[in-house]
Amino acid sequence: MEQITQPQDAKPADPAALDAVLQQVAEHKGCGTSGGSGKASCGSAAGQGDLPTEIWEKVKNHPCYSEEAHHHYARMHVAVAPACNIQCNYCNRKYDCANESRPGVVSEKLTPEQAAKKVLAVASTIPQMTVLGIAGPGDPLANPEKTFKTFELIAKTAPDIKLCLSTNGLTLPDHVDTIAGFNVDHVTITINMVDPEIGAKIYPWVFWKHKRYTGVEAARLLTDRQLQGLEMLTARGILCKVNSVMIPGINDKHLVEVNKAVKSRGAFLHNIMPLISSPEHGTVFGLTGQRGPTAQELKALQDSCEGEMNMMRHCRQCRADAVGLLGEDRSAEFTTDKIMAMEVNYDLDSRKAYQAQVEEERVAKVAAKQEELASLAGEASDIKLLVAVATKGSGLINEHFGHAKEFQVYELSTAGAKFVGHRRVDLYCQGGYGEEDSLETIIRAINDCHAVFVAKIGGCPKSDLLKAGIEPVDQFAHEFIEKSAIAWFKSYLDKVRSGEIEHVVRGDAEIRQGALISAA
Amino acid sequence: MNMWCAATRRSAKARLFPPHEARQKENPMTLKIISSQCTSCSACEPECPNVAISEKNGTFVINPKKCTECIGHFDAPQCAAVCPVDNTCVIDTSYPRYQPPA
Repeated sequence: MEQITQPQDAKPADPAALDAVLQQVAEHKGCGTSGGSGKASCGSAAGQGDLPTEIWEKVKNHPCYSEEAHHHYARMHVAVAPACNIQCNYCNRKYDCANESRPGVVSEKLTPEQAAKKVLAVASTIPQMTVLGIAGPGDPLANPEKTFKTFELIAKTAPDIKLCLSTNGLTLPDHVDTIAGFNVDHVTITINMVDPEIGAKIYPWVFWKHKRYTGVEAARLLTDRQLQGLEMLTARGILCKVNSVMIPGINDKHLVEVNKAVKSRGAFLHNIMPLISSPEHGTVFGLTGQRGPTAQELKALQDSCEGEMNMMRHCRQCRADAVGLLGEDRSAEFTTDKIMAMEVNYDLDSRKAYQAQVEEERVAKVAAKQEELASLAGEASDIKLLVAVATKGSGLINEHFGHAKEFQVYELSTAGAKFVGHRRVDLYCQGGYGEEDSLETIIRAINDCHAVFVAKIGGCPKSDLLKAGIEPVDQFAHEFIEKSAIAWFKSYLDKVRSGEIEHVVRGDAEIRQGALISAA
Repeated sequence: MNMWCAATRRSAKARLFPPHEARQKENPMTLKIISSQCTSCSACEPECPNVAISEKNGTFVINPKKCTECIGHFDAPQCAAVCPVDNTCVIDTSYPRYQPPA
């Protein structure tokens, strides 16, 4: 989303900006999973799903666009764009708690030169780093000089890194030619409405051409410019993803219309995210008590839009200075001080060799899944259920229950295993939760799941999970997620059929507030 | 050319764009940024028509010698219009306000 920045003491060579970049890149769901909810996501060749080949080629290694790629590739965000030209009720630029992270907040701003050095340092240390994004913490296109200078420097020194940016779209039509000129092939626009009456409840004002506009007039201006920019980008063959924040009671039902509007204008992926809203964030919505959606509400909306276009469900709503893979944020390793002191040797060949190995893993993973899926062929059942998986990446069940900061959620049916989202369980400075047992937090977060797949789990949490009706499964440790989930589902169906267990529908789950943070 | 017309034109121009020295001495009206509220987002800096805003010790400050409250340039002070935090770019009451000629 757009971005907020909170510069702490920005001394000349400050390290703040590095952090944001990596994290955001890694999280989106990219392969735009396949269409109908009955289909396995990422059906054929390593996740192409329904995507046309030319689009798949562009997104397959992009962690923000491909759910499958985000297991293998990392992204980074550089916080070079602190200024913003609109105000959103879910955003507050003011606070930067060291333990907290959400879009719009970063610890440090970077100059374009610092950002370029950081990108090289990170790419040399983390060969999976394939994508650089500028997402704020303000709006990249409200800071066009800084944003494009950064792209220019990186294109010169690290030409293999994909460039992308995320904008609110207000000034997008003015910059489409420049964006195309820098070979930016992915742009994300945050579009929360196409109806100015609804927009007026989300955006108190926009600043355009030296004037602050408010109310319906502001929202009309914004939506017109967003849709115009989207059309201009897709006309030039630039891939566009649309982000929407789901705000119950304000735009939740309306997002189906937004979905149609952006699809008809050529957006290839729609990412509907839950509102992050806590009073301690100091946002308008946080202070008015506007709630975010529950896990079921979010999934229902994503499912209802999925027939229309590819939906993204793996976004972690990371901050504008994130660095790393999946849910990890390694930004602390790459502070400006550390980077400026690093000797960077950008080795294109070793990066390529590493990435070739990743490709082999991906192919093996898909083959394993296809094999297991074939064995489901004869099964017929209406049962559809969710399972949670503890993973560190690479598509494997390879995380200890107690170490997991998040769980991936798969929907299992006779059509296969489909990734439908993730649930964060890390603890951070969250009002009201700190004193509680972390196990209870986890159970609330995956309460809609029938089972949780882990590499290992202790005796105590095991029995508590069973009491809560969630089966802990550790016999597939270090095996491929989808293959294991399908195998487990088959035996579940067998047990239901034989009467050994009774299938019951699970309740709703809670979406944890706050974006992902770096490892404490 | 008609003298009356030229004089009128000059006075209109002087009202909208007072010479720099005049602003400094006679009309030192200015806005200021409450630094404890400044998020240092830098949005105001490029909007200032007088290049009066710069970063200092982690937040942005307005040079009162250069600020004209945007009178003659825009309908409203640009720094206040673009600032994401309400009541952060405010009139500095320690300076007399600019009084346009009657």
